[in-house]
Amino acid sequence: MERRFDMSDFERSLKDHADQFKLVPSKRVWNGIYNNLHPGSKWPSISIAIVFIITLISIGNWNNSPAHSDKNSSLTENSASNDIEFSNRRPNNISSKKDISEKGAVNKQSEIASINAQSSNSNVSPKIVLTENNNEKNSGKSLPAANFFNNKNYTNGEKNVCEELNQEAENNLTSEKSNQEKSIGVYENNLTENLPVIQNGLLSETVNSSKKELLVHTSFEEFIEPFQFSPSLNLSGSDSKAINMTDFSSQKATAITNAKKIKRKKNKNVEWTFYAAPTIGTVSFNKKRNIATSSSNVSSVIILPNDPSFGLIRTAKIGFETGAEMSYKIFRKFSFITGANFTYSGYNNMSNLIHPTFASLNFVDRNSIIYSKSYVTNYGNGQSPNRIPLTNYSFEISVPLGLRYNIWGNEKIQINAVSTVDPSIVLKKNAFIISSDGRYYINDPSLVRNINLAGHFGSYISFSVNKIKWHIGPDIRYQLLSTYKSYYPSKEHFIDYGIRIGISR
Amino acid sequence: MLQGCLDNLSIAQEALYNRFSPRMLGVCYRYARNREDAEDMLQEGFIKIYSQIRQYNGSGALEGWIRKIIVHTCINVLKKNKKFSDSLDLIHASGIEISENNIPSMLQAKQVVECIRLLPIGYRTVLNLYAIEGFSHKEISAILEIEESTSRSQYTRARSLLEEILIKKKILQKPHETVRMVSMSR
Repeated sequence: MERRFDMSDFERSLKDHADQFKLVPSKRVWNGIYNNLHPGSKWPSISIAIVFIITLISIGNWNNSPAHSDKNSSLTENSASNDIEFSNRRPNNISSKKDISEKGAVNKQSEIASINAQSSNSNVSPKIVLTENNNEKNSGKSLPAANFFNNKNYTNGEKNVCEELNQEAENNLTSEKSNQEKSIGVYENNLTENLPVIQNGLLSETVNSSKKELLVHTSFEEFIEPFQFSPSLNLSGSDSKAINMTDFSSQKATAITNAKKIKRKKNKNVEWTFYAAPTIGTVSFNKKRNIATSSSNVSSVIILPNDPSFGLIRTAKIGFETGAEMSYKIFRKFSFITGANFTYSGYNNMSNLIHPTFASLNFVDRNSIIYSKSYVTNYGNGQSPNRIPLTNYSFEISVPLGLRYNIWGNEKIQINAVSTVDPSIVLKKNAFIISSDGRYYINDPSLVRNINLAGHFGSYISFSVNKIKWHIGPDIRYQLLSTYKSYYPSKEHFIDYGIRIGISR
Repeated sequence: MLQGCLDNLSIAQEALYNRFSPRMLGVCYRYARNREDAEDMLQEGFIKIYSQIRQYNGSGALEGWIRKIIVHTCINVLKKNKKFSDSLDLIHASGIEISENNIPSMLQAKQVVECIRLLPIGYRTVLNLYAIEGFSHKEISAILEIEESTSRSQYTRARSLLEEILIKKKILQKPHETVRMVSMSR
């Protein structure tokens, strides 16, 4: 069918045909638009990881903060069933502490008994129970002394801190006043002070609290030697301070229970470090044609991406690494390392857009038989001027397992070397692979392994600033297994170079 | 869909994109040097569309409004390129040789578009704006910041060259003194 062609027809015809013309844009166009319109959701995985790390840091700090420990260790139970107060207030002036038993300044109406809730562990602070019985003397009731303090001196040899009681005291309430006084371990700033009193097992008040303070320290490491249980002492006597024994058994049980709760002392052998590391990702390929086949013709068929004749251009890409690391000191200079690690690693292949065309990849199966697979691709090998980057990347979660060696250091500055092996799970991936003829890039993420293994090596300088320990140093990560599954003949390994920055307390 | 775009909902934005992007990429393709440039133009154009969608008052067709933004985006992208400005000052296009091999063998609309793309970029832009988008030479001179007479001469030469290409491709027939165009619909 023909029609008259004049100027208006020409323009109308052009317009009609031009308007019918459609092209389907590639996915990258919408991705670019979407990322521009919604920048907040550009890196959802990174955002989640950052939130996760911040949460871990917050929990770690909260658990390890002194305020939280104090809060735990100063549990006061005023209920009738739990008439025990734990006090861990530190003496303001150690030199002013007096041995009450020596000065005889203890209020005779007060009976203070100390319970060692941690008698088996010298590193754990003992807990003290203060009781007073103003109404009863010589109650005749027994003291369960199994957890009572022994009578100990301060490390300077001047102060009595705690008393030791034993199980035999339960049946012997005729101990002398002096014994009882010896059994009391308190600090006081002023000998005229009264002590906090516990009536019927309930700590009721502190008389003249502005001046008087009972200083019972839960962390005796600075003041006393590790105490030991001694069954030889008795506590009894009609003139002894009336120690309320009414509910002592239940108190003891409660004290032990609470003491277990309080037992949250930080293990000095364990250290948590939270870190992040910007990295530069590169890649290496096997230099020789490592074809798992006996066929002599295979090497001429299988084309590997490191073939220099292709002139392929690859560029490094910025990645990152973040996670939490726990170190456990196993020897003097060695620590065991484990934790959780997120890694984003990759590199760019320079390509160019072409019209859709067929390309193929060759594979080698277990029987060394070569077979090929065809793909449709829009990406050339980057030999034309208009290049675009195609990113090969993987986002992995891994569990590092390794050792840290303290090369040199003192309390403030340390130099450590760390080496770990990281089994990892690939969470997200993308792969552009050069075709067998070296002319096209083919996108096939399914060729990437889902589980991989990487090796880490780093050397860090650690130093403390304001109670926070910083770790800074170079870090190298090498992917031990090939990126691709075994039937793809090329062996590719990611290499990341980064600077790791970590903090711990 | 439009309300969703106003509310910045990504689902609505994607629906709008899926509906109009193929045709708009065809528009961009006529102006761009290659497909990659066309996609860049399309991306930039749609970002403008979403950011300015509140200015669409519903008085005309949405596709027309979108197309207008896309065309202006294409022109702006081209104007950033110095070679484009230089090409508008070309007077002679006789150095361009059109052979049968240069014309791709494609069908229907794409065949015509590919023939248009064989024109020098200055000619092609004026031809696109005048013959396909319907701008006047006065408007074209304002858009491209050139003289109106330049626009006219560019278009005349562009049309002449395009006719030559179409005849060589046997899309156009010129029996005696009458130029006839073979229908593309079949």
